[in-house]
Amino acid sequence: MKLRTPASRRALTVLGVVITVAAAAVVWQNLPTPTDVLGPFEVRGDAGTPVTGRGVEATVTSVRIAPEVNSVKPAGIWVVVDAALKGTRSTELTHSKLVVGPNTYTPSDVFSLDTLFGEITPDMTLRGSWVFDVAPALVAPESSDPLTLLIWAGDGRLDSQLAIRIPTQDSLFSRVDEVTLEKPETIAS
Amino acid sequence: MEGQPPAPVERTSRWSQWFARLTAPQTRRVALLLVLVATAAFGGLDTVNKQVTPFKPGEDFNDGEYTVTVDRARLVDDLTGTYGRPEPGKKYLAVVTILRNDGTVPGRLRDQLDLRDVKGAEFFGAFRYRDGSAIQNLGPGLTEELVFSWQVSDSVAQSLDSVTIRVWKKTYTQLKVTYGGKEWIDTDNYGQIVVPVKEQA
Repeated sequence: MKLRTPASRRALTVLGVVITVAAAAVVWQNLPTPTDVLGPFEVRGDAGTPVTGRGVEATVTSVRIAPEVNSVKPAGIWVVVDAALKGTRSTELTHSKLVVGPNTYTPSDVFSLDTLFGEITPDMTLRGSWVFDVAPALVAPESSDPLTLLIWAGDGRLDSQLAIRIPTQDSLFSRVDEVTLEKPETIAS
Repeated sequence: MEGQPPAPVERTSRWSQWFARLTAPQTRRVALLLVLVATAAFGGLDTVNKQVTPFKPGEDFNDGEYTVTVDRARLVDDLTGTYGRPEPGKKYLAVVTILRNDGTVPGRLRDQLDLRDVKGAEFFGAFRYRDGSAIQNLGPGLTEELVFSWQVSDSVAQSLDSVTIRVWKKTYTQLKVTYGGKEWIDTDNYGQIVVPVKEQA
């Protein structure tokens, strides 16, 4: 015995197709991004104190704003972040970014031999600096934009990422005329 | 013996009727409309017609990520202040360009200028004009005068009166397949400039 007429069966088929396509479109528009699925976990801390993640422990020791570093002028203004890094369990290649207000900066490639580009190992402390070329308005004295240094090891997938807050009204923060970089040094912890 | 079953004849007839209905102009239009609505829900179809925006030396062109001002193009034997020394039988084509990063993340420079139709041209690097240092990316909110350089053979250089450069428009798009956050991705639209080439004295 047929419960439905051919016309109603067709209507149900069309409705089913429309609902399926609409549901697929909704799922497509709301798919998790690769960083939602595999992104790093933030470990927050403040400049001046050690912040420890899975692969790296970092302490920001000072931050200097300068119009010249090693007699080189920037496109904007230099932000020199001095830090001490330590491996926690294995040799790791570390990376960093500086978030200033809405913008994100990678370390300048001008001073690559004099800055913290390299591997860290457990029980050894690597001291040195990262230098960022930043838009001057974001770090002007009257600016209230916060600075956050991000540090991670490897490609950061499913790993911890240090997010170190740098207050601009702090004894660790200074404005100077020029910075002369010291080469990174490794010392036993 | 009973006659052959009528089913094949009926099936052929049914299929031909179905095919006739399917190819009817009205059905085709409805099907096209349904396909367009369905694709729109998934982001829509790519445009076929590329939009080309011509611009001139000294004029600003905004590609979404950068504001680009191409100033001049020169053929030179060496790029003073850089590590550049051309291979024997080659010269550098240097395009001086002012770039301002209008985004919020560092922008790569490697493929920013798309040099067209210069036979055998090999991209050599991007350098800061003020000191000749190599530069890989430009931070947000920063403006820099840059030299984009390619190596070209002497024979090609001799006949180079002008070069055509495309600057592809970009959108800040979340990566969906490869790992990563949002990236500036080229669209199908571009700005195009023709720059006279002069030999550096």
